[in-house]
Amino acid sequence: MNQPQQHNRKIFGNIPYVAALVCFAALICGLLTVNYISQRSLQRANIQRVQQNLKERALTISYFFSERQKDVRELASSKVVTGFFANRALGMSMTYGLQASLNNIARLFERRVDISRLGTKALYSRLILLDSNGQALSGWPALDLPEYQSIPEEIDLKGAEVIVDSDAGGSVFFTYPVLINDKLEGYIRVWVNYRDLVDSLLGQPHGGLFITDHKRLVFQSQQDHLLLKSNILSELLRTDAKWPLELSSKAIFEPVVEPGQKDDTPYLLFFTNVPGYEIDLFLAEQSSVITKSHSFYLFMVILAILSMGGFLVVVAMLRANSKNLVLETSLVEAHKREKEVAEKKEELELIIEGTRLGTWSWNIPSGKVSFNERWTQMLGYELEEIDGTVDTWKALMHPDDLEMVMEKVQAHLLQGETSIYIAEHRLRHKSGKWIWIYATGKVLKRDSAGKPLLAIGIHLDVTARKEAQQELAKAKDEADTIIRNFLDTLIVVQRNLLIARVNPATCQLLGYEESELIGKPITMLFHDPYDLVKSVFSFYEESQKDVFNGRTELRNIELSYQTKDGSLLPMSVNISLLKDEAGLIVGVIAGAKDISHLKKAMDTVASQKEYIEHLFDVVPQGLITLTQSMEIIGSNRAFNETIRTWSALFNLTEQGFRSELLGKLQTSLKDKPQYVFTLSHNNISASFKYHATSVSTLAGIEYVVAISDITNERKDAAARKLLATVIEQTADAVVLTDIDGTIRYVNPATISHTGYSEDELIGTNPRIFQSGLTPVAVYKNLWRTILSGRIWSGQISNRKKNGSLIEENMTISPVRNEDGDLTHFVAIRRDITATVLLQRQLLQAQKLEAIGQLAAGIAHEINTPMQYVQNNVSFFERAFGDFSLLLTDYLQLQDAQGALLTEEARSHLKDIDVEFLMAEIPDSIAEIQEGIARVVKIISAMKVFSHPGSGEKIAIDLNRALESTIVVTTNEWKYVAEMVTDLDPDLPMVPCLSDQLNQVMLNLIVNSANAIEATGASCPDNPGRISISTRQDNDWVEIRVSDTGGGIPEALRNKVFEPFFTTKEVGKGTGQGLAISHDVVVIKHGGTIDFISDPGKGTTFIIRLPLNPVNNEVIL
Amino acid sequence: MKSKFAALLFFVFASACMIGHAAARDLADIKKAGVLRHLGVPYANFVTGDGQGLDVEVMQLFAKEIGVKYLYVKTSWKDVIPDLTGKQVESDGDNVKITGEAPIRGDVIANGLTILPWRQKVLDFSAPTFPTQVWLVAGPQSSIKPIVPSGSIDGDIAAMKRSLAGKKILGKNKTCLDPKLYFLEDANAVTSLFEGDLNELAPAVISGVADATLLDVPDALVALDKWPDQIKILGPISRQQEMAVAFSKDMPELRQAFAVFLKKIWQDGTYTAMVTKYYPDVFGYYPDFFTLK
Repeated sequence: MNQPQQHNRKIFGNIPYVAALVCFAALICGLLTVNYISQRSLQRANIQRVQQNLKERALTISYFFSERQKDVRELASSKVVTGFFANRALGMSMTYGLQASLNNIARLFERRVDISRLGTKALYSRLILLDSNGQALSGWPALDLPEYQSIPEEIDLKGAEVIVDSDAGGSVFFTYPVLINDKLEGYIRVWVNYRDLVDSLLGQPHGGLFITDHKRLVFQSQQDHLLLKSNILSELLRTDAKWPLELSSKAIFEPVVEPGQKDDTPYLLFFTNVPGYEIDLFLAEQSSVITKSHSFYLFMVILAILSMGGFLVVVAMLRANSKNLVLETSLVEAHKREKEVAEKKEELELIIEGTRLGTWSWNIPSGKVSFNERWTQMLGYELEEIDGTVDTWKALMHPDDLEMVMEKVQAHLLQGETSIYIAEHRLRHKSGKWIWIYATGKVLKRDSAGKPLLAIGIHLDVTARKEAQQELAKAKDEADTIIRNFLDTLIVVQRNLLIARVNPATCQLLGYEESELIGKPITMLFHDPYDLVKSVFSFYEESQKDVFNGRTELRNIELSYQTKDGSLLPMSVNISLLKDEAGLIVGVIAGAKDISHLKKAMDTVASQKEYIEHLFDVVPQGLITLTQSMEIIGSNRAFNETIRTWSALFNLTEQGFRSELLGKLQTSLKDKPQYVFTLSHNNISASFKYHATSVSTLAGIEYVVAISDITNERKDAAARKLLATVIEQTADAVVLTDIDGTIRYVNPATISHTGYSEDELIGTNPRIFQSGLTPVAVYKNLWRTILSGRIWSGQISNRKKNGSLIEENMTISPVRNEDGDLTHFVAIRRDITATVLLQRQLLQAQKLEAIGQLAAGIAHEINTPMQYVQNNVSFFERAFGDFSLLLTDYLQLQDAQGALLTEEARSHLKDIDVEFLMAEIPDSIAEIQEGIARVVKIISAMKVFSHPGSGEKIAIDLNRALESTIVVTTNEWKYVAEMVTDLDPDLPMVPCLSDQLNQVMLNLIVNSANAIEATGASCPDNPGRISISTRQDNDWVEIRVSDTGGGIPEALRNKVFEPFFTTKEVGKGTGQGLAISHDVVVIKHGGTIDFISDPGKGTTFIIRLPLNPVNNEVIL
Repeated sequence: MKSKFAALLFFVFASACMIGHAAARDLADIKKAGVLRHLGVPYANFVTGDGQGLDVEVMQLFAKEIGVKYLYVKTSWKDVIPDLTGKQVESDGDNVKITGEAPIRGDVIANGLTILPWRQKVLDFSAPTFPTQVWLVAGPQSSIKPIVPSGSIDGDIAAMKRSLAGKKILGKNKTCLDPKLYFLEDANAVTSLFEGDLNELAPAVISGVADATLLDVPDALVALDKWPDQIKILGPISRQQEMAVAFSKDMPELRQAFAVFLKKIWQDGTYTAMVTKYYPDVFGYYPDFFTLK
């Protein structure tokens, strides 16, 4: 009995141990299960965290890209850039101005780089302005500027969007077109380096980060990452791989284990798309980093050991003291919690690190604050530069924010009114700029009195978001302002076609209050059919795609408003899409302009169009409108008529002639807005003048060209030109005056005839030519004649500019205009000075010849009676001698014998004074004889002098001719001068025209006598002297005629041989003597005539005649 | 406050005394007076009118160099030479006529003054400080088209003049933009003398006052920067010219001191830095001018 009882007692005594063992085993199993579940949960949480983190990074990149798009749009629309293309379109050259425009663009780029930074690095690695062909025009940096860049194949000019692409150099670039008047002129392209982007925005990922663009790997954070060698990535990058849709469904991949790798830790591959772009992010993380799980077997061994240990402990506890067991359990629990806290802390640190948060921990009683490194970096400081006190934080805060922040701090920290402290405020960056901070915090510890002891929190740099918000708010304000102040109606319509906003102009025009329209269907505002209005305002919908060809905006849609009172208003409506930040269409904005006036105007225009077209046709000048490619868009009747006429004359088709004409136009139109050109064919020429006006503002029309057929005008002009040439080149002077006598035109002959310049003559009166020698009556007759419209002809003595006389034969004709009114007079003046001289010479010669003949006749008539007078006087002389002897003898006898004579005879003798007669009569007879001798001499000289020439040179005794001339001219000189001759007795006979040479000698002697007389110094007691000498000089004979007159002034010496020049008083000289002498000696004898003059002392004329004259000399 | 007011009164009085002095001062007088009076007409970026400008900085540095204070004396194109020389002058082509007396108000002219033959007869110029050339500038609506550069400056000038027949061209009397200097009337251009400031010439043609205006290169570059799509450069009307700082002919010592100073700032890069600040584009047009001489 005892043994079974002892056995039972033993068995029952072990039951608690067994129960405890079973319970403990159950507990261990429970713990294992809980542990496994928590491990899995932690893994999932980590994976979700990493995935979430990656998505946030993708969002960051998306936002970053949108900012860059904004930048590139701003650059493309900046005035500096558009100005360059505008200047280029104006024709400016690089040399003169365009280069400066490009430099301005380079500086614009540089400024953009300066203000766009990622931390301390430049945000952009390159900015370039390209022309429409991809040629780089300007850029930053200026060095290594690529010459050409690829350009987008197609650009939607209406709704151009920024093109985002990546290159092989690890950069993403943004391209946006530069549009001027909806015309593509070039592109702005900017580059951002992925490495800079990742370093600055995403931080250093734990694992490998990969970026793909359109399935092209464009960036990897680690060049030799194991993933690059795996099949997974190559599988993903296959061009036919259907992702990201497929990929997104299995964002978490099974671990990839690379065979043979030292660290065979598997990887998890995370994936996300950058919203709005064909860019994807891949993050390869080691699974151990994510899961932090231990080997299951290790875990099981540890668990078994723990279980055994636990079992022993339980047994010991049961055996010893249950209190110890409870304590032990508490310690384990404490360890577990501590471990969880540590893990949680690690997780938190990971999150903080991943999200790049600044953290702070504030010991409130001491005022000390601990900041993490990120916090100090956020403000541009190193950790050690920041004094960890709450005053430091306050000092860095923007003064405007301090009060608000401190109120919130007080509300949470000190008074506990809020569960968490949240505020947004600004802190001053080391560089001085302000950055926006999103701050959260919480009190962790309070004392028993509720007084806070420790608070912690985070600071997040939200500057970019705040600036974006501010810009958005500003843009919204601007948009609101624009909408409010928009003069035309403006309506915002939601996608459900309900009105979301209207501006005051809409309400005023339609007569509604704003509240009456908001939320109402848009169709209610229009009179047009419901379906039409609906389709217009939902034109972007897929269902309308066929109708509106997928357009992104509608312009100039004509609809009619129906106002509240039912009246209709025709409107021109422009409708643009409204998109939200994600780029999704949320509705449209419609601007409408009242075109009722325009409609009326259009009606008027239409009615006027016909009128203008009619005018176009009736214009006598040819008119055409041309496209840029020189195609005729329109032509008027005159032009067509011209084409018909000349194509027939040229024997061409109308099309052929038109092409030829347009070809000519094309070559000259660009440079010459007006020009004259000629077409020739088969010796027929047609001249045209065109005037082109550029009208590029009219669609399709580049030029309006007026073409005139000026063939006839050109012929007329040619004829006029010929006439003008004749007038210009004629030897006669032509002077054109107006009817007041003011000179308006002179031809070159006038200038050469008169010595005046054109400037001196134009605008003056022809009186400038008057010499004073033409009788006034002549001028009176002249004016009377031409003013009555008749032609006057006559001879006038005028004077040149140098004072010399000019004889002119003048014909003055009146000029009448088309109405027959006198407008001008034209004078044709022929210089007849030489002719007049010849005429006068001829007249003089004829006069001299007549005088010579008369003198010869008189001499002959006188000579005969003088012969017998001389004979009779000689007889009387001889007879008186005889009679005197006889009378002397008789008287002597009377005296001797006396009384031979009667008383009466003696008385007669006494009366006649015989003695006196006897003494005087011989003297008287002698005087008679002398007188007769002189008469005979003069007659003889006259006969010699007046001997008519034969018209041929004959050798004469020049000395004898001179002596005869001296005798003939005795009366001219004998009262003022004595004549001294020094004639060479050996002078040979000189061949000459004796009569003309005698005249020369006579002129010189008379001039000498006049010169001496003019001095007034001569008198019988002190007469002047005329010296005449001859001598032979080799083959020449020289005659010198000198006088002691006043000499010839220096100023007049070059005029003495000019016709009609004289210094003698009026009526005494004709001014022809020396001119004729010059003509006779030089022209007719081939000799020379010159003079030496010493003013105040006298003049010597020197004539040299050749002894052997040339035979063919002209003899008149 | 009172002391500041008194100091201001004294300064005004002292300036008035200095300005009213009737004789040109050379270096010793300027050092004795302790102030260098810079005569400047607000023009382009040489003297901007708000206390800035290339020549303002150069003169401030020069005053510092010779150990005196700097004083800017604003003047006009009409008075700038009389204010320096004490002589009223009238130019006629390359000749100049003294027509009267004037008070001397400054010691040196520096505001982008172009070296012209007639000015050389009444002024002494420093070494050239800035290159220039006269261009024709028009608004976008002008019918005159920019020339196509031929590679020859004379050819370009001739081409430019050929397109001016009957066109109204603005210029400014007594300046380097005087139309007479370039014989525009021989090209049958209708010249008109502008009454406003030189800085207003570009806005004038933009608003259509004339078909084009004469403008020197520095001013044209400033205008291009200010109104990038509203003016067009048509082409040159002169060969390259040079600007310099001008002194009265009885100031040889001051001119010599400036010559030394200019050489120094040219060689140490100071001058190039100043030019870059105010005329960054000029190096592209006249690359040889700013090389070390």
